[in-house]
Amino acid sequence: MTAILSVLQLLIFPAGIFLILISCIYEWLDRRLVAQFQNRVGPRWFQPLADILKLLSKEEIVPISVNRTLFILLPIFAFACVMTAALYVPMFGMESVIGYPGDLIITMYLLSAMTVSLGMAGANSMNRFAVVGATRTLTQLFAYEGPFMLALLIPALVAHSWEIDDVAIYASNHTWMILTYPIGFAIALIGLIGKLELSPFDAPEAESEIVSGVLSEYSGRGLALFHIAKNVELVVGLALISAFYLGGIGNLLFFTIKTLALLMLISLLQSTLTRLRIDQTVGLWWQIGALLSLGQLLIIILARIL
Amino acid sequence: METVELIEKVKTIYKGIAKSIETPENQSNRVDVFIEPDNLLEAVSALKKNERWYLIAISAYDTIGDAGEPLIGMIYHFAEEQVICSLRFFLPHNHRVVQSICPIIPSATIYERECMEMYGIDIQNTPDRSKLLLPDDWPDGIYPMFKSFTGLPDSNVVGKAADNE
Amino acid sequence: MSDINQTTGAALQKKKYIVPIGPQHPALKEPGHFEFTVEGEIVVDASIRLGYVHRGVEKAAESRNWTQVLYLVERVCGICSHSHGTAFIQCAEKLAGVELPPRAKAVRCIAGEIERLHSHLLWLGVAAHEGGFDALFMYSWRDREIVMDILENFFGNRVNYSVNIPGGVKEDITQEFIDGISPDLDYLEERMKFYLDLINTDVTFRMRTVNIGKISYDESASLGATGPTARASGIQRDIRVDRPYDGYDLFPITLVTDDRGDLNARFIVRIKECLKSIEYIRHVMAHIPEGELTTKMPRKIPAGEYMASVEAPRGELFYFVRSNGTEMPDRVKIRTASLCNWGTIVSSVAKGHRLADMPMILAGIDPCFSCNDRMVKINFGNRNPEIWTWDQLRKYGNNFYK
Repeated sequence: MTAILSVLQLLIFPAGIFLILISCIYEWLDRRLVAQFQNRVGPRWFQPLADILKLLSKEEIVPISVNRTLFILLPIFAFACVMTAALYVPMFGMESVIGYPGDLIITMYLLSAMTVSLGMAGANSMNRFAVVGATRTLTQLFAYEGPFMLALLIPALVAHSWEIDDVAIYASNHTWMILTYPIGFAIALIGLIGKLELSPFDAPEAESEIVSGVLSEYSGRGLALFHIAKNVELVVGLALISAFYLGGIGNLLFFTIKTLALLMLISLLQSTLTRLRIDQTVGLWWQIGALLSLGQLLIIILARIL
Repeated sequence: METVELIEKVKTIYKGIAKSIETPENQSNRVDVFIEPDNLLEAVSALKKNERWYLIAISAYDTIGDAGEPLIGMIYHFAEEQVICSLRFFLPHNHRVVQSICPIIPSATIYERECMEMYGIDIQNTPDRSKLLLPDDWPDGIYPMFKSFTGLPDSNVVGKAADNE
Repeated sequence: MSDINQTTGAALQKKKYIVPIGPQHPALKEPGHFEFTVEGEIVVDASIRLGYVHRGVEKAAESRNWTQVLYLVERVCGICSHSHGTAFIQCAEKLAGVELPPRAKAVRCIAGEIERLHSHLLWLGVAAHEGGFDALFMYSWRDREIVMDILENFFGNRVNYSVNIPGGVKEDITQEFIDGISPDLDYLEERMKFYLDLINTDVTFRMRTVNIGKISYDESASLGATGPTARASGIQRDIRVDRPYDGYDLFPITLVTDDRGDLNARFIVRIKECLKSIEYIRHVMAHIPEGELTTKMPRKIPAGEYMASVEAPRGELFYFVRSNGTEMPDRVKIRTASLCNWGTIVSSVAKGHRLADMPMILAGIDPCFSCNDRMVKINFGNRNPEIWTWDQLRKYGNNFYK
């Protein structure tokens, strides 16, 4: 019975099909908001879902010179990573499906693995644009990953736990951490933008330079899976940040309001900033992001000792 | 500087080099300098040395000389403020050879490539001889801007070979 | 198959790595081909190849009469069609010894400045998009629609509005035109001031433009850069001021320069030029001379040569026209502004910059590919490529639109 339940949880709710549908709604909201900020109309509500369905039903073209197995497996791996990560994160006002001490590290690892598989897909594509995109994706990963991790570790340190649910419960019983640790929140949110390769950190897929970066050679199913993986990553990331910094698990209504507020902030940043060059991105993260998150960490440690 | 002054200046620069210097009736701010093809480099560097003259373009045209012989006219258009100065010489059809001015004016390469393609002028020492405008499989020895050119013969139509494969 | 494997593998192993941009590439709105040799992210070499939209306009001009050529050259480029028409017809008029009536000159000026507004707004959007600033792209293109509407309402077409006819203009500046355009100009002026402010203050935008793609005064002067590209490097070079043509002798205009020579300066010069154009259009409309719109032009133009320059939105547009006394020109040489600015890009600016800056630097000179390429090759389907005669083409066109 429990086995069937786990399978259902993985494939239908809260992960699986339900999450994919919800993530399409989030993508639509993001695109719609950016369009509105840019004085455009934007897509209709079913557009992301229609895109994905269309891509899934199309032929997948595998270039001659690539490693065929890797080319086909990498999108599946990326998709599996984010879907698994979704099981560890409390979403829709409920506790996470799986929870054990240390699952925070697992989640962060899975989210990074998705980016790494993107980079590998690019390098494997043997396409000039994809290879440049892959180097940029991985360079950017090294840039934001450190500060982003520290920003998520701050609540864990405060709550004395490495389990996401514990931290979330701690957060709901105390003052919202966005107020007590605003720097950590800012870095976590901006790190999420970097992770999702949205503007201004969209150098890895800057269309005016390298077409669509790592995904240049992907079509059909592979492209669709990468798209879904990114959308789900967006929802998982938003859920994680809202659980940590915006007062815990809450209920469905509060979850929706909080994540949508975060999404709006991300859309606003996306549409008001110019794309940064990759060297500027790296410089910014290491010079400002890393220092700020280390400083925040130091404050917490000092506060605990004193 | 006044137009007249500038034109006078051009005239003094070219006193020894030019065959003749004319100022056309219909355009008061222009001076036409006729030189020999061999004096081109000397003429260009003399102009460049004096003032901030900049190269507008290099034109070629298919024409007929006084004795009825076919010629290629080459014009190097320069400008400074309000005055246009054009260096001009004629090449016979059977000997279309001229020196490149790229060592003096690097940006002339694009115009020289155009002249090479359109008029088949052999420009010596030019840094880049690859095709700029015409297709890669354009037949050699056919220059589209000649008056005698009216279209490619059927056997040479570009793209046909590739399509029949 | 293994060949492809080996060649790609070999190319990957080489340290020098060529990134092709074009002929089809999202950064290019028209086909052109650039090869950037990169080491990591740094561009070490660059080369260009044109000709993908070469239509043989210069050759075609030799077999058409003067009026037909006027409409032909307007189609060299859709964005600066008025400049091309003005430059060409100016040669014909000067060769025929025809003096334009002052009112026609003023109308040509106004059309030219509206064209400049349109072109600069279009460029602003494209350049912002290349840099990844899509919000500015969308905003400026929405404002560009206003200019397009002005063109459509008063000159009858959004592009290729053909204001010029031999010996004059075909559209008059009426009171209705002045009333219609005034609120639009006020709005555009406000918007341009907003963009100027934005370009000067936005932090991320300045990170991408300040000190990028710098061309020094000397480089720019010796390479013969023209237009806003040259003026952003501090060169006082504007055909409207240096060699005033048509209406610019009646209504002088002042030039805008900036001495920093980087991408940011090119943005600022163009936006300030827009402000200047708006001011200029208002001034000309207020003082428009009375009189005829056209004079008589002969069918046959006397033999002779004329070299005309026009300040197109992108820089100096040069026409060299030879007449042999017949109804058709003997030689029409066109040198567009984009072509001479290529030189500055390829030979001096590209090397040493990062790949990420290339699209913006390329866009910085406002390249126009169809301006550079002028030839037609008609090739329907893959099976039977053939060169069509003019009659065949006309027949095909008539049948197609029946």
